[in-house]
Amino acid sequence: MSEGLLITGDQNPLHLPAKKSTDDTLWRSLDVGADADYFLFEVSSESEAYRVIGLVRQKLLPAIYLKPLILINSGGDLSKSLQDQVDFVISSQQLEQQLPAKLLDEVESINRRIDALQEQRLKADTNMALRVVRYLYSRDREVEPVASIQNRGGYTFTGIESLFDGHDQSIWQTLDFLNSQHLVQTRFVTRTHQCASCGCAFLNFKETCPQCESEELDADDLIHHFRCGYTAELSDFRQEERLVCPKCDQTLRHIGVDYDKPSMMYHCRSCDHRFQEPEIATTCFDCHRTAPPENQIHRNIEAYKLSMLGVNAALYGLDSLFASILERRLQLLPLDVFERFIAVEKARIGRYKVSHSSLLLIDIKGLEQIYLTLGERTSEVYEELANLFYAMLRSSDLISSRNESLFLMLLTETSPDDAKIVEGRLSSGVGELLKASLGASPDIISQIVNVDTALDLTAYLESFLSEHHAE
Amino acid sequence: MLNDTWDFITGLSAAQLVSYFWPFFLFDLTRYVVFDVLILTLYLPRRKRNKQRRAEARRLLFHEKPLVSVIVPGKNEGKHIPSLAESLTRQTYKKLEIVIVDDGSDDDTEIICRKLHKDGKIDQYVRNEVRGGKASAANTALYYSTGKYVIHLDADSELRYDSIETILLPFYMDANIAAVGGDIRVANLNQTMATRTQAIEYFKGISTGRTVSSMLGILRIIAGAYGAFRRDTLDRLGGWDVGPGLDGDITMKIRKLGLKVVHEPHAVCYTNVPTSFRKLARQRFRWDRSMVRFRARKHVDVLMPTSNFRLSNFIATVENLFYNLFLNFKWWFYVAQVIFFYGALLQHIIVVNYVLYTLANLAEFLVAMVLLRKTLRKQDLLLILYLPLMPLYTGLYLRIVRTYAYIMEFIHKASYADRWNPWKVSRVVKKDRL
Ligand SMILES: [Zn+2]
Ligand SMILES: [Zn+2]
Ligand SMILES: [Zn+2]
Repeated sequence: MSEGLLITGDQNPLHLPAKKSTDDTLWRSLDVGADADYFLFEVSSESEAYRVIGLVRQKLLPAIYLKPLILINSGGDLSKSLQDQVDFVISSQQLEQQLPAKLLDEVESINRRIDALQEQRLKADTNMALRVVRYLYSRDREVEPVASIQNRGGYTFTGIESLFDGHDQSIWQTLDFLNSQHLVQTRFVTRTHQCASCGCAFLNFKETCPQCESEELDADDLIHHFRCGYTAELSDFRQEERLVCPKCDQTLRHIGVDYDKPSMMYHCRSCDHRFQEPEIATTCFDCHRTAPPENQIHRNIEAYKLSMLGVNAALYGLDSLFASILERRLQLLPLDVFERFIAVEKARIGRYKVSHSSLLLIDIKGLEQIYLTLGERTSEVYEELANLFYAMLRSSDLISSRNESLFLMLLTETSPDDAKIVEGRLSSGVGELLKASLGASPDIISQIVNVDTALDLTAYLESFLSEHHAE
Repeated sequence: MLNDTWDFITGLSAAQLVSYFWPFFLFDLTRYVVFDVLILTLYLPRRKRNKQRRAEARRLLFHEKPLVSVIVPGKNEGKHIPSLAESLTRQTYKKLEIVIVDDGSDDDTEIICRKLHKDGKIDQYVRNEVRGGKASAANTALYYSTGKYVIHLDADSELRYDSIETILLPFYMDANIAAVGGDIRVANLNQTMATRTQAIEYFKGISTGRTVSSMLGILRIIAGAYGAFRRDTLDRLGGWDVGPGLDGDITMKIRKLGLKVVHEPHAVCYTNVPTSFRKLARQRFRWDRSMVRFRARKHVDVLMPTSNFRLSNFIATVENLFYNLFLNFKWWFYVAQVIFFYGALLQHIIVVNYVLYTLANLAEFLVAMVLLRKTLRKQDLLLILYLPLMPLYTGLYLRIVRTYAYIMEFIHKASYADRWNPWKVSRVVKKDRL
């Protein structure tokens, strides 16, 4: 048998070449497996296993990189990290017989989720964030941090590690991005200190002298002998194996009964300073920079799980769900196209000087958060919102969006006064709809601008955003 | 009525005078006269003669410039420390080391002192998480101080600008002197009637009384609030023993080593005293009990003719026991005597006693003023107006508190469970019958 074995689900085995390098044959052969239920593979070493997993998980088609992976263990213990990176591990004996029903059920449920991506499963995903979102969606599980000395951040996420091609910082960056977009929910696990200059989590914590910063310190307990009141450092009491009071010559017997240790004292060997509260210094094992702990990065280490917004992103892409619904219903224009239409309209109005057009801006604050409140009902509400927009606009009007909550509408042949009526109806309609769904009135800001030659859309949008999104 | 009293006085024979007023004539008058005469005829002329020697001592002190450790043990005293550290920088003697020991404070003391330590305003700060009591805190301070002389100071006291220089001079006048007591004055004297009477009492008891005891070589206490010690002596003794009354105790132990203990009336330390008679009673109750314990019980050996017998120690103890214990009970005997035998003359006897004691207080106060003249403030002199209160204060109020304390101490050994020591310490000490 060759070193690597890759079998598609329909018992149509594909052999992986034993060579470490990946060649065209292999890449093509994997694409052939797009319709397979799972990939089954056997390797002779863990490093070979990681290579195979990487080959699969770094492919571009969701139908390939999301494929359930089953590792055949031909004997020996597998590392926790490897087990975490494949979906299932089975023994070679199990392979001889039928695969367990439970395993097949789980494979099926993963595949059902992959199928939900519909035609997108056969389109290349290049966006790392989207790949992670889709992977988490297909596995329907939380990805947990795992302490690791291989990873300079001190933790890695073995569950999604194979999606990345080795730059471990990019895992953190991607997860941070997903978190900032509310695509994931976090669960606090622990906390680390990381080097402020290089991000390394391997820091040497040490006590230092507050006067000269030396690390060469002695620490001694203070001893208080109750019966005579004598108080001195432990070393003054030590006589061979016993503790004897230098003042009254009695042997100390039981702590708490005839003596106690009221405090502790540090002594600096290099400057002779005595103190009770040493400074703490941290030195990075990697870049060797030393700083007090408060100047290092304190980072919460968290587990991640897709939020409802994340589920939406997995299904419809990273653009907002509302935008995608509007796009379908109203032909939402990309902003740059919309800008070109505005330019044409400005020129037309300037030339004939007979007609008016208005630009209506409507900003529905916190629209992207609705997902967190409504969950799966969100798309229904979005459909209704889209209907509302649809009812207000005529076929000659154009709509675009600047971000997930700010929408721009070009109302042609509409005076500012008429536009005011549209504005009023639209914002009260949106307000009522959202209030009925959320139980609270949303914050809606709208503005009307007369479209004339003086209008500079880009500058206008910037000033609108900086005014209403002071962040 | 006053006419009757006048007739009563003029009609008295010498024998009657003594039998009606024997406590005053036999004890108090002698004491006052002896004290005042000694101050005026011996101490003041001697101090004048020693002017040259003091100047020489001062020259030696500033030539040698030894490090002097000011140790301040205490619990929850943090609020006083910043101003104390600040005031010490204004001393004429500058080579000081300030060591603060925090005996398990549960207020802001730690925050305040850590900051002062970091800023270099105090030289050492030691915090004991677990309270160990006064002796342990003082011993911790001693352990972490390095000065040739150690000054034990209460956190809420304030020193006159030249006080440290003055308290150190006796060490340079006589090599046998191992401890010098400072003169405690009342800082808050104008606050209440209680603080005024205490201020007068301090002038008599501490300033005059200790100066005389010191001159006679029978000084038995160096106040914990302000006392200077030679480090070598403290080290020999292993520091302070478990209190209460640890100030008197350490003084006694130094005397037993054959070293001298003196009082320096011009080394002034102002301290705040209890502001009500109620609080004052609690304070005195504590002091009086510890007096009995350390004089009559722990140091009873100075009365025995053993190898380290010294006449001055013997006298110091006998004098103390006599005046405090015997005179106290004699006073009750006198009260009983007057009521049962001279009941008809009661009011006359009270009025006469009152006048006699007021005059005696006046004489004593004036002598104190002469003794301390250089270091007095204007408000100190105005206390003369309150002298008529003193017979009531010393004759009645203090006697009642003291009697109660003595009885309690003898009967219950109550001071072992003193609240100034944690229970763990009191328990061990009580078991060992120290
Ligand atoms: Zn001991
Ligand atoms: Zn140092
Ligand atoms: Zn570093």
